[in-house]
Order: sequence, then C-alpha cells, then structure tokens
Amino acid sequence: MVKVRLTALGKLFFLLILVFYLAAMTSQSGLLLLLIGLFAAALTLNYFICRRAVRYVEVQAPHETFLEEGEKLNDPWKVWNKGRSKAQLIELHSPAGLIMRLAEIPGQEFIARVPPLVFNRRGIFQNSDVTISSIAPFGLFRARRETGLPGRTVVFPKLYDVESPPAASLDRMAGGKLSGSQRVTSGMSFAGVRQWQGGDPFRNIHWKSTATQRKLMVKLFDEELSGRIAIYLRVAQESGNALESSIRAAGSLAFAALDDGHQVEFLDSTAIDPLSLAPFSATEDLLLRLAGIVPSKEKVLPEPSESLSRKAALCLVLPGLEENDLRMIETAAEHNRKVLVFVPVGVHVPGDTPARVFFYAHDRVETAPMRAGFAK
Amino acid sequence: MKNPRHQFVLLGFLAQGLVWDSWIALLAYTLLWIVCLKFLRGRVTVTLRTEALVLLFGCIFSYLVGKLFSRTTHFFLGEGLIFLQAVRLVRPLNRKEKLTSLLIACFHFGVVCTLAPNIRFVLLFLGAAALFPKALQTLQLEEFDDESAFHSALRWPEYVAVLGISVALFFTLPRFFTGAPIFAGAGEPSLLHTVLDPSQGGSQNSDRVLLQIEGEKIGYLRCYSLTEFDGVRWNIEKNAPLRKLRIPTADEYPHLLKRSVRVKNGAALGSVLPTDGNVRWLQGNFFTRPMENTSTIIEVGVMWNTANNTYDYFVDTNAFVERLSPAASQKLTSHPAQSERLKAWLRKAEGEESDPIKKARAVERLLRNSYSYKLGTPELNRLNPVEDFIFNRTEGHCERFAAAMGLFLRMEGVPSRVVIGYVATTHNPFTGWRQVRFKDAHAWTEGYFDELGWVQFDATPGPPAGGTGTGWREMLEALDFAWYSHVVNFDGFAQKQFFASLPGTLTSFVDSLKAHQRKVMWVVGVLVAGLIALRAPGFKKQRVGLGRKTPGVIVAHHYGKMLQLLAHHGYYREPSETPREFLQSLQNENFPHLAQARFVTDSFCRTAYGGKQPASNEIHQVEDTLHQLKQALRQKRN
Repeated sequence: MVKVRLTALGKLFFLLILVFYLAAMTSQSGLLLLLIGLFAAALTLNYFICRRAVRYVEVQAPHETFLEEGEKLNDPWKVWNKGRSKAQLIELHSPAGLIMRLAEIPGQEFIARVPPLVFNRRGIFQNSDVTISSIAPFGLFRARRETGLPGRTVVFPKLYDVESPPAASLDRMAGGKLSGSQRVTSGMSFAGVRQWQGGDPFRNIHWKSTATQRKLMVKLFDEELSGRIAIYLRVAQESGNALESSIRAAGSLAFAALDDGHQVEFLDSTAIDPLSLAPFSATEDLLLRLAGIVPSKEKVLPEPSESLSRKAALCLVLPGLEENDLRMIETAAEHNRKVLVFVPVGVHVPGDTPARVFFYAHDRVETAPMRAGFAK
Repeated sequence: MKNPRHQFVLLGFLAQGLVWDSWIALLAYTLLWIVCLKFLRGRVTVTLRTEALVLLFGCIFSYLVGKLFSRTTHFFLGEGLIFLQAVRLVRPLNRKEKLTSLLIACFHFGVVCTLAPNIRFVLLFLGAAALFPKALQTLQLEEFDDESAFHSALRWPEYVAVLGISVALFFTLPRFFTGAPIFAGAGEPSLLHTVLDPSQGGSQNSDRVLLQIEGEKIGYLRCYSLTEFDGVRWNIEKNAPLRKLRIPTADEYPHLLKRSVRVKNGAALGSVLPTDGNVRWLQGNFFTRPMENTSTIIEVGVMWNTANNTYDYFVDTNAFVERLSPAASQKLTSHPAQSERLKAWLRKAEGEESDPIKKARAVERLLRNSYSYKLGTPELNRLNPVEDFIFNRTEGHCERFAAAMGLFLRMEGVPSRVVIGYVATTHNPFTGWRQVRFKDAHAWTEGYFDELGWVQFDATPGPPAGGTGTGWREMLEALDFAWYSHVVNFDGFAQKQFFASLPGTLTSFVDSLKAHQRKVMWVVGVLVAGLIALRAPGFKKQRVGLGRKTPGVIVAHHYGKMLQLLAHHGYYREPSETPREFLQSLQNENFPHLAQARFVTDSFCRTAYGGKQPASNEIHQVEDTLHQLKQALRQKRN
C-alpha cells in the first residue's frame, strides 16, 4: 500500500498558499489566486506522480548478506520500473539508512547498482523493512511503499584483537593453547619419545630413535589443555555507545577465547539459553547472536551463573556497574568461581569488589586488571 | 543562464520592473541579471555579510530613488530583495539558499499580482507556469544526481495540468469582499490638483486609462465646479446643498440617453462620478447615495475600491432650463473689480457683438486663436493672475483659459463657473467604447444665459476632442481593459454570476452542437483518426528518435529488426539460441552478409550483456549496416 505524506517543503507551500489567500482577500486584484493555483497545481501533480512512480517500481535484492560494521554491500541491487512512464527521484530506505538514490529510471527498464550505504551499525536488517519512496517531481509529497522483500542483511559488530580472558577447569583438548605437565601421544608440541606400548598409534612411531634404540619408539607431545570460559553480557536498556561497546567487548573476548582453544559459553541478558561453542568451531551462530542483540527494558535474568557452567570462568561484561551487578558478582564469588568483570572505562568500581576488574572502551579492552579486588 | 531557477529569478526581476511601469526598469533589471550571470559569476567573492549589506543598500537606494522621482517608496523591500537576488546569482548556493531564492521570486510575482495586474502579467504568468515547476524539479534533481538535473523535463500534459489547475482554482476559489472605502485623493493625485497644477503628478499618469464610456453624443464629463472667485483663485463652493436624483417618469424615457461607464481606477475619482449632460438617473455597484449638487455634479456618499466598477446613468435631452435664483445669480457673477486695461481688452475682444452669447463666443474664439496651450509655464502674478496671463504670458494650460473665460463672463454680468472634468478623446474600435485617460483631464467654462441655461465654453486652444484610433495601441488597450474587467476584477459577484450562468451556457453549447451535428461528427472523426494513427505501432516506431529512448533500447530494437529481416528471408533464430549461437549458425549456412550481421550482433551483445552504452555514432553505424543488409537481401531475392 502506498502512503503519501507532505514533506517539509510541501508544508511550507501549504502555508504559502494560506498566506497568499489571505492577501488575496484584501487585494482588489484576484490574480494572487493564479499564483495560489500554481502552488496548488505543483502539489497536486506531485501527489499523483510520486504515487505512480512508487507503485510501479520493484526491487530485487541479494537474499542474504553478511557484513561487518563499517562495510558496504558488494552485490548490486536491481530496481525495475515496470510502468510506462519514467520514475524519478526514487529512494530506497532501510532501518540502517538510505540504501540508494536514483534520479530517474526510464519506463520498462531497470537499473542495477551497488548501494553506497555504509552499515555503521550492527544489527539484522530485514529486506522486508526496505521501503521505496519518491518525491517526484517537486519534493512536496513523499510516497512510500514497503517492498516486502525476502532476505536480510546481517551486520556483525566490529570485533578487535584482545587477549583471551583466563580460563578455568582446564581439560585435555586437542589444539588447546595451554600446556599441561603430562606427555601424550598426540599434540602439536613435540616433547620426546618412549617405548611403544599397546594401544599407541603406529603413525606416531619415531623411526629414527627406533633405529637407534632397536625397539619401537613413539613420539610424545606436551599435553594440550584448554579451559572453559562463560561470558555473560548484560544488555543495556537503551541503544547507544554503551550497548555497542559492550557487545564488541563481549564478542571480542569470546573470539579471543575460542582462538586460544577454550570452550566458550555465551549468554546475554535478553536470551534464555546460552550458546555453547567448542574451540575452532564455526562461529556464525555467535556472530548472529551478537548482531541480533537489541536492548530490552525487561528485567535482567537473575543469576546468570545458574544458566552457565559452574566450571567455567565467568566473564561479566557490563554496560555499567549497578547494585544488581555487584550482588551478581558477590553471588558468583561465593561459589568459588573465577569471576572477571568488564566495565566501560571511567566507571567507578568499589575497592572491595570480589573480582578482577577490566575496563573496555570502544575498540579495546585494557588488559591490566584493577589493583584492588580479586576473586577469593 | 539555462538553469530554470535562474530564469525564474529573472521573471521575479521583470515582475518588480512591471511595478515601476517603465520599460527602462525592465531593461535595467534584465541587464543586471545578464551581467551577474555572464560576467560576475565565479569571479567575485560574496560572503553572507556582503549579502546583508547589499540588501540594506538596495532598500535605502530604492527609498531614496522613490523620493527623488516622486514615486511611491513602498517598494523598497522588493527592490532590496532584487539586489540580494542579483548578488546570489554570482555564487553557487546551497539547497536552502536556492529555495529561498525561488520563494523571493514568488514574492515578487505576488507583488505584481496585486500592484501591476495589467495585460503584461499574462506573459509573466505563462513564464511562471513553465519555469516554476521546472525550477522546483531541478532543485530536487540536483540533490540526486547533477548530471541528470538538466536532462529530465516535464512532459507537456504536466504543463497543461499546471495551467489548467491554476485557472480552475482561479475561477472556483471563494472570493470575499474586503474592499475598504476610498477617501478622496488617497493614493492618487486628485483630478482637481492635476488640472490646477499639472506638476502634481498628472503628467505621470497621462496615458493610463481611467475609465471607458459608452453612449450617444457624449459630452464633456463633469467632476468639479468652481464657483467662487476671489480675483486670484477659483474655488469649490463648500457645503453646497445636495438633492436626490428624480426617478424619470414613463413618458420621459424616450428622451433619455443612456451612458454606461466602466471605471478602471476608482481611487482617482474622489467622491464624484464623471457625468455629462443633465443627469436624470444613476446607479452603480461601487458607491452609495449618489446625489446631485447645485452645479449638477454627481457626488456619492461612500465609494469603495472593488472589482468591476461600473455605473449607468441617463441624461435628459429635453431638459428644461433651470432658473437661477437672484441670490444664486449674484453669487455666480460676483468678482473683484478689474482694471480698465482688462475691461478695454474685453471690449475689444467682443468687437461689435451685442448679443451676450455672441460676445462670449467672440472672446472664446480670440483666446483659442491668439493664445497658446502649454504645460509647465511659470506661475502667474499672485495679485493679478488673469491680467498677467492675458497681457504678459499669453500661454498656459487649460485651467488658465477656463479661469480667464469665467472672469470675462462675469465681467459681462453672465453667471459663470469653471468646470473640471474629462474629455473622452479616442474611440476604441475593438471595444466600441470611448477611452478616458488621465491626460484627458480638462477645465472649461460654463455660462448661464436666460432661455438657454448653462452653455459650455472651451477657450483652450487645441484640436477638438474625438477621433478614432485604429492602431496597436487601441487594440492593446482594449485587451488590457478586457483583462481588467473579466480577469483582474473577477470578484465574488462575478464568480456567482459565472456559476449561475454556467448551466445555461452549457445547455446552449450542447444545443449548438446538436444544431451542427454533421460538422461536429466530421471534426470528431478526424480527431479520432489522427489519434489512432499516432498510436499505431508502425507510426509510433517512426516517431521514436534518439532523444526519446535510451541508446541501449535502440540497439536492441535494431537487433530485433535484423532478426525479423533474416526470418523474412528464411534465416530463423531458435528460441533457445543465444545471439552468438545464431551468428554461428548463420556462418554454418554460409550466410553471404555475415559481416553486417556480426556487426549488429556485437553491438547488441556489448549493450545487453556487457552493460556498455553505445555512442550515438555507433547507433548510426548500426542503422546504416542494417540498411545495407536490407538492400543486399532484397537484391538477392530479386
């Protein structure tokens, strides 16, 4: 359905019509009514032309696109004019901003263009929210129509490099970045040889030492360990820099932990179930979760530690530090959990906070923890 | 200069020039526009502060010029805005400034609608109807894409719609009368002052038409009667009694002559209505309580400035001679004693005549023949102006002749009065009415004779009034007056009448169509046939030119034509074949004109699949190649 509204310029013209009409009433000459007629004709024409333009324009967009914050679309969008007359001053809008502007599309033709829109904000932008509008030809009325296109554009938060938070409950894990004291028969870091025992894989035979020792010798490797990290993000109740910074920080920490080979659980305050991610696994789900976080005015779920593994080190990424947050920290600390708190730079943290406190900004996490306040 | 916004700004300049009612102003503004755009643009740095100063300077300059040339100073703001617009032509503007510039031009246009609504306004309006929408459209397009800003145009139906809606609203928007009463002399130099002292603005208004009058044997139109003479000046009698006009009886009607008057500029009338002869009845639509004073001048109670000022009156050709009372007679003959010299001159002028009226005619003839008419002569002696005029100056404007004649009549004991009014000079053959212009203001004398009543004497030298103009000027004036009557002055009453008469007009139109049914059918048939021919596919294709379709579409069109041509000669392209595959199949069949086919196909593929727009010379080459192919295939068949 096409909706037509007056633009600011159109409202100004209506006002001018009223002013001139009042002036015409006090003037002997009625010719001012001709001038009013000119304005009214422009308004009338604009109403019908922009309506017609929008009615016959169709859009074809890529079905699904994944981007990072600050990136532009790479694939062209096709805009068809199925009407006979040219369609002018066409704009495509999405909640992310103005996708593209087309001065003119001749009748029965199409234009394919890569949108110049830079997606500066993270989010999931449904193509069905894309609207076509036109202010042709005079900019006095704007006709708008929803496209109902399938598909979406997913904009991930722009993550940055950060050190992985310290993990807890180290377990043997192939590919783990931490080294254990034991020697095992598989791994990345060669640590020596021993005599072959039943059950050792034959491919691990170290032929050089076998030849020297005249008995079957197998390679040994340093034990690879990885830990568990649970990241809890309390979502700010309003959109803004605080929310975005916290999401970036949480995402960056999660990816850093995964890169270090740790097992990560991720939970935000708007979700019920945490996302479990094995190290080196596909991270699309996490990125999608991060992209889709929207602020919620609902109460924070109580005790995130109940939803997250108790063995994992708990990283609380908070947009600020409130009383509820301090209680949450104390509760977690009481269960002897390793608790790390991440708050924005500039937030005051009480000295007796029973956790290691880190500060994050728009594009970094300060790795040096606060001096005071350590987990018990 | 081709930018529609710049052109619309020029219209605003011209509108302001029209307010001055001077060709020099129009030329000067046009020149200013050209200089700013052609020579100064991009070469002069202009800041906002400069613009503010220029605006202020323009307002002050206009005010001073108005004072210097005794013109109205009310337009100083409009003039200041002209200066601002001119300065803004010199530099690139942002969107808001462009919009402001357009609105200022609209303001100038609005001013000319109210202050100078003459026929030249039609040209301005047509220009505005063409340029204003285009300027608005360009403003929007410039925000989208600079290159297409000047390529895209409105279509002719849209221009027609703009005009149509403007005119329709002009006729249908309700009008309300809010005219204010006119006070005598308000805004215009009064007739009295104009005639008594032509330097007081009369010459400035000389050519403007004041009113039009229609009727038989129209005499001098009387507005003021000066009856009191103190030896120096003639003055109007104050508080002269007024009497109602008597409604004529039925048997008096055959002797009545009707006059109809259309007044263009009511403010110049003061509180009197110009009439000639013995007025018996009068009615009009822009005044109340018309009454006659003792000098048979028609005065009204309240006059207001409204549209379509008209009045009708009837003069009695069989008027009885009004008797003057002894008191009135004494009043109208009183004059200070004159010198012997003047008396001697008068006796000499009268010659041997004994009859009073013949004596008066002799004096009149002498003044007409021996003295000169001239405007702008120096002031006469304050103590003895008549003697100074007769013996020393011997030239002057009409008031001097009339004043002298009036005195001479009184010296002979004839009651006299000086009358000021208008003389309807030219007859406009296009309207059938007589034009009365401001410069037709005149003064003459009337003397009272027993048995004859008041007799008119015009002692001013010059050609007699009358004549018929047949040139462009008369035609333009006729158009101008019609424009005023039917368009400018289209008020609430006229609107009501228009809609009341509309059903009748439509009915009579339908009846006349029915009466000329055969002719109408012919005309309709021709129109329909023409429309069908215009929209026929073959004809439509002929009409397509390079400018109407994009180059890509034209190339595709030519490729389609080539396929049709080849199919006609037995070379069919399968639906599943791509253009290249079809070309290959032609090669396999040893098609003799493969080079031409390849050229057209390559051009098509480059455009359709490669996204490259062909240049215009390439399109011509494709057309030529296609033509060659057609000729070759035809020859082969023959």
